[in-house]
Amino acid sequence: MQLTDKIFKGLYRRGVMLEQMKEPALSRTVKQMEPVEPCESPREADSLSPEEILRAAEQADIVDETDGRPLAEKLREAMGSGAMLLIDAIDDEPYVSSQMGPMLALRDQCAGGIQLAAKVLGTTDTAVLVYKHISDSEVAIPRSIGGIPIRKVGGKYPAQRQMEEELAEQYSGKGGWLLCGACAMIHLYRAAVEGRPQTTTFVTVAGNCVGFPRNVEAPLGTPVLELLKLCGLTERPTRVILGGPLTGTATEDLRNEKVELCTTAVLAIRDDKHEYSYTCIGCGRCTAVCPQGLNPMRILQELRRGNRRAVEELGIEDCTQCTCCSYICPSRQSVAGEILLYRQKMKGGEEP
Amino acid sequence: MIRESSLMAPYIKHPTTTRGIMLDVMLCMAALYLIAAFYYGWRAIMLGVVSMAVCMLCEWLGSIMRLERHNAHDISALVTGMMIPLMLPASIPYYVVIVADVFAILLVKYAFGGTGYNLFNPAAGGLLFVTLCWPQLVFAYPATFTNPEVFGEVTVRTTNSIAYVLSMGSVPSTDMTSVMLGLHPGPMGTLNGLVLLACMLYLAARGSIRLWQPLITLGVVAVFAAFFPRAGYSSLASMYYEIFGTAALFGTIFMLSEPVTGATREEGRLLSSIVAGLLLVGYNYFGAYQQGILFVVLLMNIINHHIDTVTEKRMQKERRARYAKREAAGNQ
Repeated sequence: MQLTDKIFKGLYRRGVMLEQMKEPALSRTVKQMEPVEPCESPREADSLSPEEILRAAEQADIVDETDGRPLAEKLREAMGSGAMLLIDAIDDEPYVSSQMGPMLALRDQCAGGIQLAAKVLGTTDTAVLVYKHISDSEVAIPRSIGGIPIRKVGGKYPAQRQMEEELAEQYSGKGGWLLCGACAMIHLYRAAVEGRPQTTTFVTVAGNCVGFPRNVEAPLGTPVLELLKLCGLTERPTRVILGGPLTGTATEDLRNEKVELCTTAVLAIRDDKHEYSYTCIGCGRCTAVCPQGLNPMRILQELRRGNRRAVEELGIEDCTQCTCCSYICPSRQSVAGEILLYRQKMKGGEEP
Repeated sequence: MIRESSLMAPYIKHPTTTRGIMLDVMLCMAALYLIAAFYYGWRAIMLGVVSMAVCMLCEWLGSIMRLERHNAHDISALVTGMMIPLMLPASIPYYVVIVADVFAILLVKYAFGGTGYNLFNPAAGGLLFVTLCWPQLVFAYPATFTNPEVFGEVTVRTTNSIAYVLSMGSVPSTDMTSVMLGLHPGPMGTLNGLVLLACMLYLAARGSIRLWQPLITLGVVAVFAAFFPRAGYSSLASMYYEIFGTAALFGTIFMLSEPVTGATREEGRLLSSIVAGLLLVGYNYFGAYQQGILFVVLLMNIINHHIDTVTEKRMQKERRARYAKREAAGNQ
């Protein structure tokens, strides 16, 4: 099956263009916190049957970092369907390279895992997806890893989510494609060939006060503080974020906050500049960037007035929390934050 | 108190701030003041300084009246203050400027809730008020290089502007180069077409305005001017005088493209700029005053609300259709 180029190019996608700042984490090797002994008796990858691969994935408890679902479950659903296998190493948020980095650094394992997953699906049609606009990176993205072509996904942030939506719209119900995380593929290879369970996850440690930003393979449950100590801090950060700078959450409890399966990054950021907020002047930039075609400034206006019906009518439920509106706002209004708070309150059954 | 939402993602922000956008506009208007000072001497600068001071004072009074804390980082009043004298002759008495400032800030802006809530462009509102009160002062323009006295009674002889000559249906005697360089009587900030075009390009490059917005409005004006000249001259001359001889260029760049009172969505802005052009043409042919741009700006402020409602409804419908399609695809 051939996917249209339009989905990858994303010329008409709305959103924001972000400076990616993936260097130097991306060009450094992946640091393994616990040294891994080489496997004594690796199994032959070619001799494994699809059922054996699935069983290995199940036993190793591999979780796909793209959507947080167990990999075995995803593969079993699409088993033998011949669907195209798309590997997500997109990382369209600044600083974060926790999929792309390991995919490039451990490309043999990643390619091996992809071949195993492709065997389960019964397809030869695979592609690794990376984000196109990483102009500041010194790393040359190869055309293929282990014979698997790398395709670049263009468009403004949030490119990944918009690409998934477009894929879903055009190829749903046809069993056309399956999107799996690149790190899950590495873990699949290790589980099937070396018989190791997933005990680690790949995390990008970066930010403007991290001394040695890099991708770290951290055991699950590692405290955030330990990761920051490993990479060194040059200054006292004002904010530590779990996840990307646009979708992550700030944390203060560094000792007790632990690395989980879906943690993509730990960012330590120092922001000395005090941001003054202004009243919304209605410049319409948020409306221009919203990938969902919403009108964030009107939503914010009605939220503050407490007009629930108007808020629903303006489509607050369609908001995907990409936070483009808050990013672009020259008046420094946290539009996305207020929308999220409102939705949390609504979910809790509380009157906002 | 810190709002809870301000502690949430995103943790990086685009460098452009509201203050930055306004400083860009002020920088452009500062260039216009320099040109005005070159033509009319220190009085042009003093008018601006007084106007800005009065606007800041009114802004402060306005926030006291509304029992709000005055946000010292909000410089929108300075923009209004700078804009008002630019649309007036250099010989205008100071009290007219002060009345325009007070009306603009306290009545047009603060009556509706201050920055961001105003329904009308404050500068256009204030200017229109003084135009209706003192038309003989507002439309009496000194010739360039006459240097009106900085303070006190102005004794220089005043003449009519090109806009007046056009509205009377006669042919302006000013030659083309002088019109472009601003060597003709008129509102002191709207004279030099070259500087205004440079301002337009600068603001467009900085993302404050969309370049196509003033271009479309002026394009509509130019097309009508070419086909229906107001007097017996060539269509090229007609286009030239209508755009560079009147305040249309200044108004479209600084007032019609302004974000607060403009339309929100792109298609709305497109519609808005076409309608503005048509209104300006209509006013030029049938209006009572020589400068129609102020009326057009205020009319557009109202029309834009309707345009926004229509585009928003259309977008909602489109969004619903898209989700219905997606859901139908998901159920297959």
